[in-house]
Amino acid sequence: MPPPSVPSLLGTEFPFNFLHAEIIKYYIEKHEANKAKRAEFLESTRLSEDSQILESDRNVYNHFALRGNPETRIEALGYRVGYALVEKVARDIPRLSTELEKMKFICKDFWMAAFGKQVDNLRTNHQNIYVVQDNKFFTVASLAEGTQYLKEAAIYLAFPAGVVRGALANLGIKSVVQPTIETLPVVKFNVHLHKSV
Amino acid sequence: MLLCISILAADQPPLYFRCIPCDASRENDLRLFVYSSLDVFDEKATSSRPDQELFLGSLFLNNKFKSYGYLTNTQIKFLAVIDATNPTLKEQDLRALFKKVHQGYSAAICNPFYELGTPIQSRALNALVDNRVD
Repeated sequence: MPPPSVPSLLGTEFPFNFLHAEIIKYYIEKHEANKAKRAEFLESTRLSEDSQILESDRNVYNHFALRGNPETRIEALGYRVGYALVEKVARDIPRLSTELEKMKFICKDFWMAAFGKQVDNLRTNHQNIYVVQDNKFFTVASLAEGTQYLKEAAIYLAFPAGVVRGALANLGIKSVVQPTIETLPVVKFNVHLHKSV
Repeated sequence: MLLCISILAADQPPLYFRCIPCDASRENDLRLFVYSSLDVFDEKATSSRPDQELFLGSLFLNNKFKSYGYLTNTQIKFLAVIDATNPTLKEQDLRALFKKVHQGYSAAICNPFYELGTPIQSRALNALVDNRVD
């Protein structure tokens, strides 16, 4: 049962899938365009005799000298979203004191509010690594089952990975979240916690 | 009578501080009082209870302040200071007040233009203090 104060994504799933797909497409296209511009700029400076960067070119240079691939940018978007969303979801529940309680909260209430269902499997090796398994993850639920589109599906997990990382950060746990897929639509998130001893 | 509300997060400058209109020296006393109440927060944090309250009957310039605290799951501290000389506000009122502050805070966080860690500017939160003074 989703917490009453937060509408689950099931009601608004359709528009989110469209928006998410467009965001991914935008970042990939921007990345390609930047790569092309960078290559073109390097070519033109190599061939010209005056190898100084003109003042007018400096802005252009700064613009695509910054490297950052689509995955990291989309994951950063998800971080901010997760940070805010967990504040709303964790509002009326009793205190979460232990790390395990926080992980269980993420896997049940937060996952329900953010991704429409609860997690199917949670495992830990008791050394700061948790493996969260969802057997029908909603961003890749509409892709073909099996192993046909593994590479293409990877980018569709960047945003949710950021959401989980942002949620954990707001609860006071610094972490690194890596999504992995073996067969669609079963998705596993490897959560590495940074323990401050 | 409610004197001020403050929102603080760990390791950051205060996110929010709003007191009733009064002169600067009283406001400074209130700020000092809020910061001294933070120590008691850490003490109470180790004894596990869902909502936390604290009583500090310190004397500041012949005025008595009482402060109440509330710690969210996301390690954000809310503090409310009331005038201890006329205790018109009861514990129940303060619990309801903190619920409203929590709602206002989560709404402010959800604002996409709000940068995390910077001071919060929210009319809803300001209204909470302003409407209490009557």
